[in-house]
Amino acid sequence: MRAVCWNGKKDIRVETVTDPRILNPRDAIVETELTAICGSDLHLYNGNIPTMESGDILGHEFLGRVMEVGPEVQNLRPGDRVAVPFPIACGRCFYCSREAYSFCDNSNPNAWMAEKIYGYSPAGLFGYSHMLGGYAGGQAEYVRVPYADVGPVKVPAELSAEQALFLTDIFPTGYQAAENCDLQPGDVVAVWGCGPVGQFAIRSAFLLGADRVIAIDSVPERLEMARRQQGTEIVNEEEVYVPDALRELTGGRGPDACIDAVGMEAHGHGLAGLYDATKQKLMLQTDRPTALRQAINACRKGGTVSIPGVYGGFIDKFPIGAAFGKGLTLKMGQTHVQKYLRPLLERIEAGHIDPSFVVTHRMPLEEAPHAYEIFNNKEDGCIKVVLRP
Amino acid sequence: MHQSSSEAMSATARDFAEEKFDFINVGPVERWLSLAAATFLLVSGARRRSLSRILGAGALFYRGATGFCPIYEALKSGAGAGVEIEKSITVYRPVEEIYHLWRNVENLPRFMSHLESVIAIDPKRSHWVARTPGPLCLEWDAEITEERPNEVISWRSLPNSDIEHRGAVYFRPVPGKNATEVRVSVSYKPPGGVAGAALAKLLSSVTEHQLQEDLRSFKAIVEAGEKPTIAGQPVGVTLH
Repeated sequence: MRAVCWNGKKDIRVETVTDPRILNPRDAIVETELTAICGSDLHLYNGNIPTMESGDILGHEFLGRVMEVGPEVQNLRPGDRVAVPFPIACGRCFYCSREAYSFCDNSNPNAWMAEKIYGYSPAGLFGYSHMLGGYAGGQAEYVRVPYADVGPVKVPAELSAEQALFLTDIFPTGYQAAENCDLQPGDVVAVWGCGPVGQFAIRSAFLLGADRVIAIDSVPERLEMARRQQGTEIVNEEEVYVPDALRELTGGRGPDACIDAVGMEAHGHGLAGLYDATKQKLMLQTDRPTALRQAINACRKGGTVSIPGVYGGFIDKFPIGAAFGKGLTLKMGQTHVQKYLRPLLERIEAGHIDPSFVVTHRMPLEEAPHAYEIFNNKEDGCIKVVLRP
Repeated sequence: MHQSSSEAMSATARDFAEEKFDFINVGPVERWLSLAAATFLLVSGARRRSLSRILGAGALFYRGATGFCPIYEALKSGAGAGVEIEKSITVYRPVEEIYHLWRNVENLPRFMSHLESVIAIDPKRSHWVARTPGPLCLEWDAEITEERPNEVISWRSLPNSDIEHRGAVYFRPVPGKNATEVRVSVSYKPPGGVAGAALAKLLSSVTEHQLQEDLRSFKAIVEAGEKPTIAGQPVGVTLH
């Protein structure tokens, strides 16, 4: 089959590899109908996540048809059309039984690696480094899906692939970020980062009752999407000092909740030895921890800072004093996608949202290297790329 | 006869000489090679973002800089004291079920990677075969010395075996969580303090890391019905 393979920093190639096969009784093989590049894939693209290896197949947002199921998979049969959540979860451990699927105890075969950095290992993920399982990802013609009796949700034929694809990650990720804000009537939410996750966080904040949402970014077309398609107010971070602007926009009291949908490019270096050597270089590459610092600074007293953006290692100058002094609540973590699949599918079917609004580029899988490049460089108005094998 | 006694003599002399620096167990040339290899691994590990390379580099730096190799130490102590390790894990299942799974000793090779097979002879005794490479073979009989349902099972190899093996597993229900803490301790010692080739191989494979991974496998098999794996999945192979 053809698959998008990581070969090093900014070295993405579409290669011919063997087809996946069933390896465990709860596996299924899915033929990809549509897949996408996630903003978090750019952390891999830029070489900021440790434990990637040459030849790793990328991708964790994919939807397709079941080709084959293992003997323990009773709920799916060949031909079913499914969306597959990006966290791999057994469905039966302490965490899964509490719907905290992205903390699954059993799905990471390399849990010891993550434990060295995090103390305890989160769930394995599709196509997202060996520290998080080393599972071959979904930017390929076929994908092996572990615990297929738990993760995949059946997608009705009436929905287009573009409408259902984002159930696999970015829609639930934005939704969980907004849910974590525990919104009350009249609340104002500020969202840093108007990429795809930021757009879904904005839409979800409105769905969950936010009165106003203020979108912050520096890319004009992303701010424009937030303003025109979502009805937000906007702040261009290149033109103003964001916390001051937010203070003025909220009558001097500050947003009730702040969402950091940027994450930190300069992350992933969990090993102290590498950290010191690379810190300076990484700080020159990116200014992104600024978003989190601003969010903590700008948030009202007793408010919530919700972090759907990916962080991997350490950050400098974390304003713990501001967070403590204002008694902020910080909520973060990978999304428990399985928990949100059915309720969000119902919202799509009911017409509350059409997630395909974020798609700006449609390309064949073979053009993945070009797609990564324009998405990473934010060229050609690129906000979200979908790839069709 | 003469040769073996002179070997024993020189070993004694060497032991005596090493007493002053008894933490150094790596020779000078090997120490320099360790440092060189560590540098290579660190550079290539950083470039490829390979955690295993970076961790390997750290271990080799330590080995080169201090002249102390924990693996050599383990092997050396294997020839003398053997290994004695203990690890624990929490399994999200009731204690009765977990106890029952361990009490059936034939289950052990499903998750204890250093065991090839365990076959029950009668309710107390069993025959154990270690997983050793190539033609090397190591087997022994063991008996259960203590069993208190849902609390503890302990066992040891029968006297005059090729190995002195003891094991114990302790169970503790986690209040209100329908889960069980499982704490396992195992020890392997060479009888009379001398390890043959097969036993030396076995001792080098019984490590804290491996015991932790074995317990993780046990938990995954019990909770999820299978052990997670990526062995056999597709991977790109670009020639550079």
